[in-house]
Amino acid sequence: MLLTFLIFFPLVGVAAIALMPTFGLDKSYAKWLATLTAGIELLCSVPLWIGFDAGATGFQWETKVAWIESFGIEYHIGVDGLSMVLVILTALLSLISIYCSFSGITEREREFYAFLLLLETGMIGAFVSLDLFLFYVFWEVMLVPMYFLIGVWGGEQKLYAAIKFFLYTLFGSVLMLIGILLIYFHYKEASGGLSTFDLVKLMQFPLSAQGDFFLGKSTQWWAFLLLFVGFAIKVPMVPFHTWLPDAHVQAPTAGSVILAGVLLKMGAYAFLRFSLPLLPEASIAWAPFLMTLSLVAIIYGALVAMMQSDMKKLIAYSSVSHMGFVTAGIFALNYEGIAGGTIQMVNHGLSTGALFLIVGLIYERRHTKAIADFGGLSAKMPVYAMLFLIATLSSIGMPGLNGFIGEFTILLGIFQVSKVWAAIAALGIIMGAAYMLWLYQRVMFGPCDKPENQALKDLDLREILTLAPLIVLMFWIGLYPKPLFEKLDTSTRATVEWVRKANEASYGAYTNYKHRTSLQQSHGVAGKEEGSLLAPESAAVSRSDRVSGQVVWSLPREGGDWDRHSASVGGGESR
Amino acid sequence: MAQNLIVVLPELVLALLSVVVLLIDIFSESRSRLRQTAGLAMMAVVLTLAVCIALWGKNLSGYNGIVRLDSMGLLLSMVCLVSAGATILLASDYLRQIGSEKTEFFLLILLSTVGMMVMVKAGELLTLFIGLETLSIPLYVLAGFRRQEPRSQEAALKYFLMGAFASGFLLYGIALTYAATGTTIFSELRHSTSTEAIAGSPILLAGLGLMLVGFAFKLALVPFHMWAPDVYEGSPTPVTAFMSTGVKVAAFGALVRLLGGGLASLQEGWGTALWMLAALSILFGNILALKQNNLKRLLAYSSIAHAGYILVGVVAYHSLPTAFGPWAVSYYLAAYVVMNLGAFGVLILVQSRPGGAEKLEDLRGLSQSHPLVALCMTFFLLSLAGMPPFWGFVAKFYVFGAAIQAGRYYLAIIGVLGSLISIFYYLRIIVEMYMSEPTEPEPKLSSSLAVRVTVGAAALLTLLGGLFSSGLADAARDAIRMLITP
Amino acid sequence: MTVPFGWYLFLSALLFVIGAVGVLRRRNAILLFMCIELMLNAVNLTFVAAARHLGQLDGQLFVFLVILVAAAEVAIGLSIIIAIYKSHRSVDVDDLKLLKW
Repeated sequence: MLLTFLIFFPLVGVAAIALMPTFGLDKSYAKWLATLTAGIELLCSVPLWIGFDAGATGFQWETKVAWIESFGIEYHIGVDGLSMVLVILTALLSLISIYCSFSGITEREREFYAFLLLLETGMIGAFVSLDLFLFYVFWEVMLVPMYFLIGVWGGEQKLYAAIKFFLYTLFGSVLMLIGILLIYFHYKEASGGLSTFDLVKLMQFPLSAQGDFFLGKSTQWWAFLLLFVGFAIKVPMVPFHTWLPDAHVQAPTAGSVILAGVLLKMGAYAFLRFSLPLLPEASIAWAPFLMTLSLVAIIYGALVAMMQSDMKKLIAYSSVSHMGFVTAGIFALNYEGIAGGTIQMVNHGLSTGALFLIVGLIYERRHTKAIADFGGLSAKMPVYAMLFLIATLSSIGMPGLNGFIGEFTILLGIFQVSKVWAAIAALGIIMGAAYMLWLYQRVMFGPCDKPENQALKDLDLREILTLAPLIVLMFWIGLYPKPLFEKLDTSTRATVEWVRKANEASYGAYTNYKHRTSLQQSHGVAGKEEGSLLAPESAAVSRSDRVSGQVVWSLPREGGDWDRHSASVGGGESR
Repeated sequence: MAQNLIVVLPELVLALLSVVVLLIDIFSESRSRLRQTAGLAMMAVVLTLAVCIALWGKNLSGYNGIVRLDSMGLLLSMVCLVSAGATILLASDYLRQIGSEKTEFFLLILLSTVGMMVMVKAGELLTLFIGLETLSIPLYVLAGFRRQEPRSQEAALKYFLMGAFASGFLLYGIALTYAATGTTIFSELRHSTSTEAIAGSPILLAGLGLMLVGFAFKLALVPFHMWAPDVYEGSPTPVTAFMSTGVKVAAFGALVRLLGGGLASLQEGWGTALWMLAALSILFGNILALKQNNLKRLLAYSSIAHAGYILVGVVAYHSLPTAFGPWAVSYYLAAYVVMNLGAFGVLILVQSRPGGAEKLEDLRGLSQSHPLVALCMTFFLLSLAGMPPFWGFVAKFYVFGAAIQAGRYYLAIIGVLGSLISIFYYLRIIVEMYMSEPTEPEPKLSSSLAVRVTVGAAALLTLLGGLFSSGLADAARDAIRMLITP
Repeated sequence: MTVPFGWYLFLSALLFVIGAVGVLRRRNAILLFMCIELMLNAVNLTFVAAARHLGQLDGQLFVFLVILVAAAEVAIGLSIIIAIYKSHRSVDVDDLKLLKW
């Protein structure tokens, strides 16, 4: 019930804002109504954290109601550690983005706040959906308000950016829908006529009797491809990222914060929630490819960010780079990688959200985002400079702040797969430090020679309040991440274990995956110091296995080829 | 005997009531004749709807099987009646605006609806044809109802010529089918085409092909679509709304019956022809809609594309025992009728010019002058585009799901690509409403309560249909199950 | 000696094609209309011939229905054409250019 309340409560706010004229309220009350709604929402999401049983497997706070029975579509919601954390992040960032718009949004306020609240409904709904169909519905529900936020309240090129955003995302999501239908019909066939979109049911079926997955490998391969396009556009992974800079630059501050803080997480979350559990074999097959794309994103995003002269664009490209870390962590397919990817999702939400707020603050004062228009602000705005510095350091992964925890854990994960890749990723971190510090230097230090900048006022209380929660969380995660890791532990472990099991079941004992397990064992350098982070790998691995420590994933050239390969290996053959 | 009458009871009721309406209208001396007749016509529609509901669940065939009363017939009849009712509600104010207060309008709508209802219940080829003509002939007149407006006259002539031409094809196809099989009743056709000798007969195949061409003309499928944008643009807006909804329901209902019921064994032949028509309609309908600045033309092309989507459901029929395809067709038709009527309703509601909005810029800045109307229009457009959580999404989901289930992945992919293209032009309207400054003076809204209620109800249904579609989906499924097991 | 059924079919097909081509080629609304009538009569011929070939009466019955429908179409069609003529002083479909074909 709590989750249902969380999903639909923002709609109450929307209704209240819509009915304002009926009760004769002035439109300036819209922002307070919205803040109130989002505040209650955040308060109500806190019990999720407190009441969450970190040790329990499976989903908590589940609700299940039949929706479209003829298709077996259910309103099935619930959270595990991963989605619980993201729901709270969403509630927090929604409140902040509403609160930060008080001074920036002066036109059509009622619509603006109504769209923000509608967006919150869509985001929370997507994070807690356990039914593929329901997930798709919420996924699309997010799209429309965001489109309006960019298109109505955006910058000069708002229409172009809004339509580009809409079409890119929609393109991905319709392919995703076909992928979902593919899974649905194959399940129906395999189970003898049962129809369900329920993630839990879909996962229960496969490994039961024959130890065989209901989706054949070539079907998995295609389904993964279709889902991948949808998710990768949302993340966005290179080469699907081109909508992101436009959308970010044109969006109003609140839109940028939500976009960077929550919407980008949606893609990575969906990989973890749907791709890995439902298509484990294909995930392993595709992992090297996705890893490559992620590394390209890390380096490419960082390089392009260095070239930018617009602050928002720079941060947008830094998002591409950071999200590359997240996906790289996920597709390392081991405990550290996935745990780190999840943490990094939260971190990115906090630090990039904060950075967009910071740019928004200066934009409201000066109506420009060009780096060249600033310089020497630290003398004029000391509080601003300090907060900017903290966000910058968080973004580049300074120890003691949150970014470090995420990136370090991810690197641990990648390292177990390939040292070279880990080195490339580490290079990305260094480049990240370079462009962020350079940005900070150009804006904050040097002579304050622009006359317009002389009279800049420092932050007022409301502005500090919008940033404060983010800063606090940055320090908290940076200094004491244990609670967060604990909450995430079970779900991460389950995902890793699931991929391993599904893979073993279809490949048998002596196959690629074993090799990789051996790799994990032999390179488990962090095993001692980060012992609590490591998944218990029970397999007893022989020396000879350990020696063959190269990158051992292989992409099937075509579905059939792969099937033959696994047959020759002599494992349990799948359909 | 009694059973025969029960089978045609809804048509009978509506036909008789329309005569009654005509008589009352002739002898009426009321000063508000327009409103009076509209009210009477509306009552006739509601009464017939009640009859349909009372007959729900029956599965009968009458007159040796030439008319069938089953759930699909009733469901689609009701959809046609809803379309007619909405058209009547939209029209009364419209006729006043254009200064053509002729009460025959409502009578013609009613008679046309009788034809539609006959068509969706037809169990025989000639009955189908009679139904088609009964629905078409009043529509020829309705298309030219704005007599002072040259474009309306032109639309009438074009619609008439194309309609008669298409009827010729359909009829010749019927004649050849009759010549090849010796029967025109679907159940017997099914029986006789199951033998190899008849199923392979070139005369039968020619007949099938000609009938498909006739249907393709009527449904405005690419490449037989060229008349549709002109006719839709020129006709009075309520008539366009009626044409783009009711006619499609009737023709698709008959098509599903004919192909699924009568000529199921020729699936190889019609399956290929239809999927090509579907793909062409989806792609070209959507692409051609991109450049339109006239809203009625734009919606015309969009309705061509929607006919393509529905056809995907027909193609997916595939004689599967689960019969997912035609179920999806019925469901899609219901959703399509509501959202399309709503969109046309908004055009009538916003009086940027006499007779309602027509050009894209007529809706400029509507979100600021009339936010609620803009919101309704956004619902309709997003629903037409197939965005969740609106009804159009669920409908598309079923249709493409049927295609995937039938193994026609390429059709599903073409379908979603088409939807993607369609987003462009639907968004153009939304951009115009939300992201442009309003024009001066702000357009007034129609004062008619009927129009407002119609638009509001359609918007509500578009939303609720998406959220709570379970009941209707099950009804549609039952409808089809009965069709499959006669 | 009777004329074989195939010949009737051929003749009616020929008439139908002549009608259809006429509709596509002619520009005068009245002529278009006559071509459509020709198509319908080709259909009638097919029905009658098929009925005779199959030894049924149904086909001949259908002809009456077709004639009936054709008559209704004539009534509406001619009145539309007259209305057009009154305003345009022409029944050439190429003169109707307000809507692009």
